[in-house]
Amino acid sequence: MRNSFVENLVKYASKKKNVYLLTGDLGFSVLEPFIKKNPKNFFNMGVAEQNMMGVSSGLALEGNKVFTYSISNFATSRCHEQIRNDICYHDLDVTVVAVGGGLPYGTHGYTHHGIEDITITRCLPNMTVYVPADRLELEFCFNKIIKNTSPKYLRLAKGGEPDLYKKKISASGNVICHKKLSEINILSCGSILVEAIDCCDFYKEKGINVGLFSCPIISEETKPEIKKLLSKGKTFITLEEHKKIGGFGSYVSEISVSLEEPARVISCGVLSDGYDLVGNQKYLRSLHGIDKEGLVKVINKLLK
Amino acid sequence: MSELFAKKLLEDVVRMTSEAKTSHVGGCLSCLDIISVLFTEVINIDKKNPNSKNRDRFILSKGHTAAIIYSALANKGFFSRKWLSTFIQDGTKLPGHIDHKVPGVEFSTGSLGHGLSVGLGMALSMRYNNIKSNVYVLVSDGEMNTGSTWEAIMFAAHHKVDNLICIVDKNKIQSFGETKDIINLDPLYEKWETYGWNTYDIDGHNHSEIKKAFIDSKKYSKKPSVIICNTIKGKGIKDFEGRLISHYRPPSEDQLNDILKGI
Repeated sequence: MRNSFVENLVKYASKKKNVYLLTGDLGFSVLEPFIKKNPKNFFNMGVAEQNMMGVSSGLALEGNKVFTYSISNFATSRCHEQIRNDICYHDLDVTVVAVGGGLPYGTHGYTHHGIEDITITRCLPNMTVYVPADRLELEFCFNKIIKNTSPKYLRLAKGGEPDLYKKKISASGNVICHKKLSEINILSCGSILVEAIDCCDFYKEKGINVGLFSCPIISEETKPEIKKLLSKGKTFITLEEHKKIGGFGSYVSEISVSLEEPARVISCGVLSDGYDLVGNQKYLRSLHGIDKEGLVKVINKLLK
Repeated sequence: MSELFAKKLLEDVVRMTSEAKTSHVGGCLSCLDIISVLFTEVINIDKKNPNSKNRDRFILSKGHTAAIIYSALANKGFFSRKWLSTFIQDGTKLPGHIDHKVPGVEFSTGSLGHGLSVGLGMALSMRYNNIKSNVYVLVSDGEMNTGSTWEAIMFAAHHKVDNLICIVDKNKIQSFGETKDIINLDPLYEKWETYGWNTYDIDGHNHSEIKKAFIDSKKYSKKPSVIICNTIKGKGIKDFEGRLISHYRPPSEDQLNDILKGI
């Protein structure tokens, strides 16, 4: 997904003079295609994320479209106040791009678990959060990002995620339908979608339809679409590789409680009491019950 | 010209903070002469064309001293002087920390350590686009505790951003005491110079010294410039001069009247 981001960025920057890419000293073997073609529009800011966000704000104030690049927590937590005051309060055209969203760096320990970033970015003014599941969802998001001149957070996983779509996404809104609305539905956010697809396929073989929708864009603009789904269906399982507190599940629940007849929302995400568990992504997904098997357990209970 | 402007700023700032019964007059008064010279003889800004590409950019990074910039901008005609009497009142356009929604204000600050990075970003873009103007950023000495400011200092020098001019209001007092007792910044001149900046160390209340430093710094190339202004916190209000209390206590009615009489 990292490389796909850079491919999209290089393509976009080839038509524009005012596209800047700033990195917090990360992106080895990823960012080079952009640097090669746009050397004057690239800055390695060093291990100095607060300055990176301030500088990106200054560049954006001068009419530029700016992308910053770092690992999830360094890109968000470390410089959160600069994102809040400088980028969001001034409603600037800066896209904070993070790699390692979720648990792809699970073996590196808690410092590298990007599991609170959605909470702390989606609450900021003027901010839209993009969480693509694969390279085609990334392209889908990127096409919206280039038209959006307000603050953006683009949460990438790592690299090597499987393709989950056979062709370019043609959804008209922000929510992508995989399996039509049913009695039980999964609303998935990010690369964890692969587990939801496996789960739905599992039930399909048993003749049970489980609805599945991918929601890569968390914003005010997406809310009416989610609201519509929630008002038509009965039970929704939210799935994310992120803490349950304040993340995608919370976002959906907030929408649900605003309905006259709220839908049932069951949140599946990283557990608070296991936040510091270490291991590879597959292992950690299993421990937190956010893999296919975890979802099957939740749905089997509902079917009883 | 700058002396006359300084009198207007003094009257406005003491009146605004006294009538609103609010804090931070000390930091306004320490940078009053710097702002007077800057706004009358240095920066190129135009109320009729506030977004001109060729304007100089000014960022107040010590955003708590917003009152003095509101006064300067009102006196330069960016908005009505009547607004000044609404300072920090309910529903005002003039909040206690400087805000970009106010005409003429480039950037909102209030949390220290943000302004220099933002000014640096502007300066990089202006250099890229061959805009021959300068970016001025006023920081406080207490603000130099922040790591983000030092990040910007290192990066600006590394990239030789010579259209960036930083001004340090070295009034030697921060929120809870004297800078020398909290985190001693000295030798500050040597620090900036070692970090690769074209450095000046001047009397921040002497208009001709301030003007000269600004003129020199504009000519300097291949390095960013910093003008360390040695100032007195609360300057102009006798009981406040050089005292921590000037950071918190609003000027009394008597102090306001003394100032008005003096002017």
